[in-house]
Amino acid sequence: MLKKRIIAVVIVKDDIVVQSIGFRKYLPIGKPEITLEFLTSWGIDEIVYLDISATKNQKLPNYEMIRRAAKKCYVPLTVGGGIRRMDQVHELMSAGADKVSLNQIAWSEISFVKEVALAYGNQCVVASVDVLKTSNGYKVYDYTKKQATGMDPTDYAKKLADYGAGEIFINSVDRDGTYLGYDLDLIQSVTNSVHIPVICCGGARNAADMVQVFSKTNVSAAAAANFFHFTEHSVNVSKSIVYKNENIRLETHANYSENTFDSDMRLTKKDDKILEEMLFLRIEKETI
Amino acid sequence: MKICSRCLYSELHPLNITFDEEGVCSGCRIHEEKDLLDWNARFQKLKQITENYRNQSGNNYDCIVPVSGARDSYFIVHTVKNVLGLNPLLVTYNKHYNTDLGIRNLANLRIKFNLDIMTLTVSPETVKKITRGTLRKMGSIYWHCIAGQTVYPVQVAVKFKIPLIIWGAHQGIDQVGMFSHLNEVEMTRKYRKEHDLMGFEAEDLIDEFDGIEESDIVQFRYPHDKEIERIGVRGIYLNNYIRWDSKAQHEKMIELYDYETGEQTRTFDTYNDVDCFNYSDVHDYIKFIKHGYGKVTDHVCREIRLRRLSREDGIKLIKEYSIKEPKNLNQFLNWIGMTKNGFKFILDQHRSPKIWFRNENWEWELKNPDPFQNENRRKSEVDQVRLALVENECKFRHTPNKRTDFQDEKYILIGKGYYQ
Repeated sequence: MLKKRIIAVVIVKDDIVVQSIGFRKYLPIGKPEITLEFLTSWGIDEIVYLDISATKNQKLPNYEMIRRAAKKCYVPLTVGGGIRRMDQVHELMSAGADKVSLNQIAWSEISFVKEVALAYGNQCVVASVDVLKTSNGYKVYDYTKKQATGMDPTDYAKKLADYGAGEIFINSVDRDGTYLGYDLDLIQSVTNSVHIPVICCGGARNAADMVQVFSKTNVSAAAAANFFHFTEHSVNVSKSIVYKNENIRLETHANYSENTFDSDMRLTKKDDKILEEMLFLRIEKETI
Repeated sequence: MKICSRCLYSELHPLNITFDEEGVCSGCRIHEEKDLLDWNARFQKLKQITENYRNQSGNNYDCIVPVSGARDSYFIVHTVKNVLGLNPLLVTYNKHYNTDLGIRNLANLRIKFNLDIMTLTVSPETVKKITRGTLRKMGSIYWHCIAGQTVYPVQVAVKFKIPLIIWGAHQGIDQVGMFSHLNEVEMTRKYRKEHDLMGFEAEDLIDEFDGIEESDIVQFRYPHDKEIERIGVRGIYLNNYIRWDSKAQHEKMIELYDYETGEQTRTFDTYNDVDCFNYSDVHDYIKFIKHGYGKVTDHVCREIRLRRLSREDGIKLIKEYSIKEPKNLNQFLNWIGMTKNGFKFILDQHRSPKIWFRNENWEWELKNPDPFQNENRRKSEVDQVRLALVENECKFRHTPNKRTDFQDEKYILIGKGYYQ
């Protein structure tokens, strides 16, 4: 069986990495290349790099910045934001992207999904779908217009899959930055409607939410953005927690297998006796 | 240039900053939490976290507290020892640019709180070599201070198996609202590399040109991931759990423990960074050259947000202080062995082209000599988000100098710790 994946979403606005809260409030974090460097060294499975200001500001993707960041990234890198034409996809692939994420262009011109899939293969196309929970049920959300469309996300996902999308990246707008956990009903309904892998995003507070979404839905990857910025080795720690329940990769030398965590999934202190014994122990550095 | 319609930070802030529809910066928005959160409940959370770290065997300390003697040190130690009742090990990186006042304050801190302290003093020749390298590479004379302050506590944590480090305020939260207080952000090597070290880890300084070898940077090297993991090292920030007000805190420390204040060259704040000849002087002047703003802007923004200073008075202070020439430049040049011309040449390489240009006489000129020229036109926008003052004046206290007979003009590497 395929292993489940833990994915970090790096949200870039006006060339800086930000935390996104409710698709409208943004807090500045730093440079993409530093974020990618550390996420990689912390053992993330994949990175999704989303430039959320490119399409809105009618700008091209910042290839130079992506190239610089991709140099620090040794895991599959999906890049999205501002993609409208095929030559941009070529340029992104040469800048170091392994896949592209299509959101706005897929919505306005679904044949483009097919075009990219034909050129680079289905595995290269991640179709990104923002979803808002409305009084009429879940609806696809148009972030450029800041409103919900009439489209049902499961129908839309099916359509995207038919046009050659390799994966569906489903993002819950109303859970964005709320730390209320993933929207399990939404995720389950989308995974039931398509046969391609689904990545879920929006609302994760810590690894406990990832454990939950893997146990309650058939999602293939759990993604999170904000909370990976909060603590040291956030990815190693989260994976060590998910690893106890799920078949995932955990290959970092610092794997937190002997540590314990509190209800917020933050580290707790080791027993004094264990710490004291460590005074005479050599801790080997990982050598590659 | 975009300037926040509430505080006076511009979009050029080196920690990065975002603005919302009202033109208010992320720092001001996160600062609003200080008046919204239930700080009693937040403090209970801190207690709960730290209680878990209390040493049970009697053979070790409960936590590590990094101190300098100035900048919130007293308040942090007061909180950890006398409020939370923990037994901390104090650690301090010797920044070499010590003033006598700084040495006095640190000695007084150690004695008043009756605590153990460990000091790392790297050889001055090594520090000078590294500082020549960081000046050339990133135009910084402070890299070694910040690198030392942020790495030594972690090294001690790993060496002596003390997993908890307690810091004061997280600058990213307090200045630009990088995180919400509720995110309970912890110390990361990532933040250190990107923001504290300006992207340069100790290893990145090894360079034949600068004559810096591996053996020179040993003391600045971060423990490896496995060590951090095995010990379970965690660094927490008090400002996520305590409503942070540096001015009020320092004033309390003056009352309780006789904290000594000092006049500073490039800011009106007499409490922070009085331990250093360079921080509010040469270092801050360099900051102005590089980023177009100085520490005075940080202090003004902080006081505006805490509702003690009006925007208009803040602008006056920034205009007054940010252009002040450093007083201690010759002292620094003597120490490092560099001419003024050489120093200027190096700094010119690091002038931000966003801020400076060469005029027809090939002299450097500010592109925008008055960043606040649009203030009148912005009045309605500014008034819309203005905070009402809660204190009518923003006065910083001046305590009497405890050693008036001493001419404080040389860096003190190791001081006796004058105490009365």
